[in-house]
Amino acid sequence: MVKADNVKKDYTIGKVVVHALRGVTIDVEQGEFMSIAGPSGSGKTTLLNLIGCLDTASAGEIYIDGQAVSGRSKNELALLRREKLGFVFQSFNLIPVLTAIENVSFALSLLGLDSDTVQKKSMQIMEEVGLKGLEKRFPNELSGGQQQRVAIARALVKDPGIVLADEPTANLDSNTGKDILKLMEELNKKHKTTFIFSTHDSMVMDFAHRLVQLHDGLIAKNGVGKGGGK
Amino acid sequence: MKFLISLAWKNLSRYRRRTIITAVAIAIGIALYIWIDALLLGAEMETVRNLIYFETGPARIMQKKYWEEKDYMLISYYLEDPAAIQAELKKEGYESTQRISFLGNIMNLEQQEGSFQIKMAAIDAKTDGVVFKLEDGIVPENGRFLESGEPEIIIGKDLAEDLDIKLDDWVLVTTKTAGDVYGEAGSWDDLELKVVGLLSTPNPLINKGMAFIPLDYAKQRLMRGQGATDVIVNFPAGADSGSEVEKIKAAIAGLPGAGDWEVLDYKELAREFIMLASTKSGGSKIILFLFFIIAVIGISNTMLMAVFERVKEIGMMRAMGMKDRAIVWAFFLEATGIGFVGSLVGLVLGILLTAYMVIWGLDFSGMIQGMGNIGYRTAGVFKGWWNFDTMLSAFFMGIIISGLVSFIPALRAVRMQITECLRDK
Repeated sequence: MVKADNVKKDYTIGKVVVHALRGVTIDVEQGEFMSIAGPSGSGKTTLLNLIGCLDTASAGEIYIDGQAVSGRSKNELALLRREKLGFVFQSFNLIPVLTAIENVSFALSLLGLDSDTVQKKSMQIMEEVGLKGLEKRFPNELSGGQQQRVAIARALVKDPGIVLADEPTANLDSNTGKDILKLMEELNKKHKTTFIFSTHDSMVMDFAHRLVQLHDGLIAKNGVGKGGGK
Repeated sequence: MKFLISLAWKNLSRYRRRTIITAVAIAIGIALYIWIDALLLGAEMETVRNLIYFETGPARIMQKKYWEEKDYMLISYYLEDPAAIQAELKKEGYESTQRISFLGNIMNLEQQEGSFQIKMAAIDAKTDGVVFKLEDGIVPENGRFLESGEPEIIIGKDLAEDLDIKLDDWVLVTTKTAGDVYGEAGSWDDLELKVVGLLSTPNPLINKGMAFIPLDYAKQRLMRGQGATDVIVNFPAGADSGSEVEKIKAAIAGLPGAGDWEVLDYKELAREFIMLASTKSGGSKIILFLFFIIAVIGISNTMLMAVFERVKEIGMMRAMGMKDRAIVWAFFLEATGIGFVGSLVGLVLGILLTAYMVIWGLDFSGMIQGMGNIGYRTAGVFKGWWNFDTMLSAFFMGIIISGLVSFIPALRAVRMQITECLRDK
């Protein structure tokens, strides 16, 4: 599903070169519920960005469904993200002028689907994430947890193979964060969608079925997580 | 595209205050441009009309030498048989009149002190009205129009004030007569003339510095009973003056001495004003440019703010697979939307202001009297003129420029790394 092969990423800040990833190799199978954990600066967000084709590796290769992503044009990468990847962000990143349902529909309208299909699928996913009846609300009329549910619906509505979530609970209180993680776990089971989180929150790590720990840009631990928040 | 239009519209509504402020800036710029253009064009059209009706007439026939030394208005270069010219023109359907145009020093005869050099014209009281509208410039309380054969004069109202002359006063005009031989300057002659009318025309140059006397009286005193310096020919308003001049030339070509004559239309006769008008037209384009700069700065600022406020949102849209081109389009549509609203309001305001100018105009009489000759021949009330080309071009330019200025910040946004956008605070 996803493979990172000896991936390295360097940033130049002024005259200093920062080695964010020093050679990470990882395989993620379809339907995994995986967490990339580590302290600040360990390279977890960088790895997530590379897998999400939001950034390019300095060396090594990322494969999505067996196909290398390096060398692709900006438009090709945009199409890849549009069709195969869903994103959930720490600060939700909903479009404030659109209602909840419109935010969800946005992902589908990029695929050029007809409006009936867009409407039907959007309503269905809204119900799945527990937001039935709140479709017409604007983001500022929703709580943080509800906004993150909209973001999850937006990521899942197009049936992507992979959902990448960067610190999805960081802006939520612990109870709401737990609810969100349970929801994602349920959806992972139901849709067989691969979920990859980056986090330094132990609660998120506890939910992960597989835990990859990064330290100074290298994999420090790659093993089975507790799963289910145990 | 439907989604992009919807998103652009929603963003315009979301930042309503900013949208309104920017649209108002564009609207004011466009409305002012339309208004000033209408004002300048109105003044220009009014000036052309007043030039033709009160100064030049549509076309003039005169001796080439008279035209070459037009600043001196030497009546010694006269047309020997203007009546023959008029008769030939009549055959071709042209109405005409003859005048003697000359310079004279005018003074209040009673006070006998201070004199002005002014332009004067001896006019045929019976036929002058077929070309000019001088007679309309005398209202009953300001006397009457000239009668043939009498030693009388009508003078501009403002000139009369300057000379402290009232109706029925007498003035002394000193001028040079034509000589015994064509082209030879004659002697100085003093004409004592009774003021029978005070002219108040829409042309301030007439009011301020011209006087008129009867043609037959002037011929006796100045031309030994014959000749005139000009034959002024009328042709329909709106006709192509160049081709009319050619027709007039052809009509009189067979007359003796025609080779020495000049036939000029009002554009040539008032070339200085036409040049001034074209300079002013250039000036109005600079004003247009300045107004558009105001609009451009306004919308650029709005779009810059719109982009900077939404960097994270842009990052999210790009992460979700929205192409850079679509994002640039989204901003373009948003800016075009503001441009459309602003331009539409500006157009409506501009039309209302122009309508006011066309119907009522603006009274600048106090200002103009103090300024002397400003080139325009309008007596004080500046009226507007509809210019639909300007209205449409201002409307569309407002929209197009608004859209174009959005490209810079939008391109800047999509050049940023997506991760950089997502990190934006």
